[in-house]
Amino acid sequence: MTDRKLQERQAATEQARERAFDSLLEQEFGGEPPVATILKRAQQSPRRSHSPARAWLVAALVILGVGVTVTLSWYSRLDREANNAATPQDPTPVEVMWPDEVPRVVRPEQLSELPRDTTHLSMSLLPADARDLSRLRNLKHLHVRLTPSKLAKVLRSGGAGQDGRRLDRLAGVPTLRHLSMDLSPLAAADIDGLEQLKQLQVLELSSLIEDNEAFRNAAAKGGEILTRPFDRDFGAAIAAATRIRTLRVTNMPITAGGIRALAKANLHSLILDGPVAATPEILEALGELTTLRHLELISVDGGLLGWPDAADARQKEASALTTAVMKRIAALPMLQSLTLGLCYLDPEVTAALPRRLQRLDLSRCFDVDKGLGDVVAQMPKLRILGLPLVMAQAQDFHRSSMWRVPITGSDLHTRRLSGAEAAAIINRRAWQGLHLDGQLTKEVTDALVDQTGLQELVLTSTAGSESLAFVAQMPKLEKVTLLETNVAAPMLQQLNGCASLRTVVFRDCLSEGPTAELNKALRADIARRWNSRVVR
Amino acid sequence: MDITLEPHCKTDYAVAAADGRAEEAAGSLIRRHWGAVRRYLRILGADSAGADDLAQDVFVVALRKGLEDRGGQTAAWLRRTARNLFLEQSRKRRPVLVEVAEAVWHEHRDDDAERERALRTCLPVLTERSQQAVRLAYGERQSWAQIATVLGMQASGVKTLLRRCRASLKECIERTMSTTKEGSR
Repeated sequence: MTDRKLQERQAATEQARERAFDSLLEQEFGGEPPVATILKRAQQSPRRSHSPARAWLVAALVILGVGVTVTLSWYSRLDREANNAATPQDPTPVEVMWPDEVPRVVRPEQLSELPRDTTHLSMSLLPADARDLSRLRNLKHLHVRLTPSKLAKVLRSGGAGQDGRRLDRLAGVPTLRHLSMDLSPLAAADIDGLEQLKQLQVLELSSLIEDNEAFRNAAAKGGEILTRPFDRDFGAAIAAATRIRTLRVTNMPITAGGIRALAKANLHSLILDGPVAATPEILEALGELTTLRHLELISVDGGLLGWPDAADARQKEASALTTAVMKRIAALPMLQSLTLGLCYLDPEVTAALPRRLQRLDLSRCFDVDKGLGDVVAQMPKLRILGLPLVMAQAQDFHRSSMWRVPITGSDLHTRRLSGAEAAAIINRRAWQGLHLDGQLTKEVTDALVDQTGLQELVLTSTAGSESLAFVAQMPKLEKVTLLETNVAAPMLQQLNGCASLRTVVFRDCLSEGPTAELNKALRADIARRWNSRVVR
Repeated sequence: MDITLEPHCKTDYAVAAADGRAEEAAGSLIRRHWGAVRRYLRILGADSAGADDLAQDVFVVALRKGLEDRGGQTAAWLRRTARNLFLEQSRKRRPVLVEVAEAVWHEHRDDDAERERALRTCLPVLTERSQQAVRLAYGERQSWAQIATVLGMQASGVKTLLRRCRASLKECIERTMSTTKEGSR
């Protein structure tokens, strides 16, 4: 012990002795202990301790709790951003949506005229020089869509006319989160370039064209243009772009190797829309994507599309969605949301649906029978449900599926749930969201009005339906999505009667007038969102 | 080393308080151990008022836990509780040399009663004025200024007077105790 410490100890000892002597004097002159006070206090209920140590402990726990909550919220937010809003409440991925109106398609040479804070951009071709894009410092969504007339021009000019290193140049746009490519020629080098897009979170690929020798020959001499298959190379490149969480593949042939390569990606949402004649083997490969939260399979067998090689399946009306496939899907450990569309759903497949789903959308399926109600009753977490409703006439279905090949002479529009059957399923529980595809009969609208807690309603093919005025009786409805619907101002004015409505989303809608007129029809406090496919 | 004593919760004091015997036993427990608990708290570093408050808290805790008086074990439990309460309260203010306090406590523990008797013997040695000053300072907890007003002197004079009184009493107590010890041999 050092001298200083020894001195301190001696001083402390002396002070303690002095206090001991003080207490002796105090006791001698101080009188009796306060027995009555102590007894009285002991009989009272214990007070909350205000001791500093406990206060510190409580404060520390509160701070810890707040810290944990903030951290979890932050990570949840990051995860949600990465997953593009794949939350339990709404695990469906968000596609590119435009505020108010779809922006005009910008040509590469017009990029320099755009405001630097542009967040959404639609282009016909990627610019040859990525620096033109990188001057847009807040660019988040980029949609590249080649219209058929543009494609013809590209073909006349002898191909894409670029060096096949377009995508990796996008790595120089650090804010870019969402890339959507439609009908664009794509070379092998472009696919490799996907690996460089480490910042990308959402990737949408639609009807991409194989930019190879055959494409150039077709450009020069005429001939068949091949759609680029989604194969192993594609899957591996996406897995290497480590932050992609949402992938949508539309109208492209899919191989089992492509699906299996995705197993190395940390995908949360996968949408396969209209792949050509996918086999059960390809679909069973989905069982290897164990990180999936949301899976969407639209027309997986091509049976309702005009693909020539799907004719056999179409004739048999047999779906590639077999019971074995559904069991593999049901075994995905994190799956919360499932959408099946444009496929036949027999009772055995329905019975094999996963039971822990929070969201199930079968609104565009056929042959769904009322037995679905019993299956749904076994899904305790289910809060969002999509149901197919009988349509008045086949043309309604044809009109709604505007990008599908019409099926003439089919009775598919009747092989759906009747209004009474759908109402019985709706009445089984309180729903957070409902998606109804088909004719809204009185039974259905009555059931909807009874859903006083319903927050979101998606309506498809409402042409020929009764009035939408019933939404005025829904006290908590916040969001209405009109999907593949022929929208007009009088229909939208009916939505204004719903006081709680905050957002109207138009997806793949037909509009007979300019979108500006539709905007005027809605209340000023209702936000509008459009996706890129609006047809006038 | 103190033996940790878990309270013997045979009786819920709050429930049994209606019984006069329970109150009597509780009063007896308090009177018997009050001085030692209070002194222990003072040695630890509590000031006079703080020692009173903490000693009350110690006995409230003891009664709520239904502590029964079992002599040394009970005294040890009370001191342990007093120490914990004091350390909880004083952690924010300054570090406490618990080891030093424990050592001083053990110096006094064995001859506490004898020291009290010696004090009573020595008090008459002081002058009437000095006794009054000591009574006002330690019995009524008056400040030097208040005592000075009562005694008609300067506050600094009261400080000097009390210092001299303490020194005289200490010397007397030590002498008395050593005489008693020699006599007992």
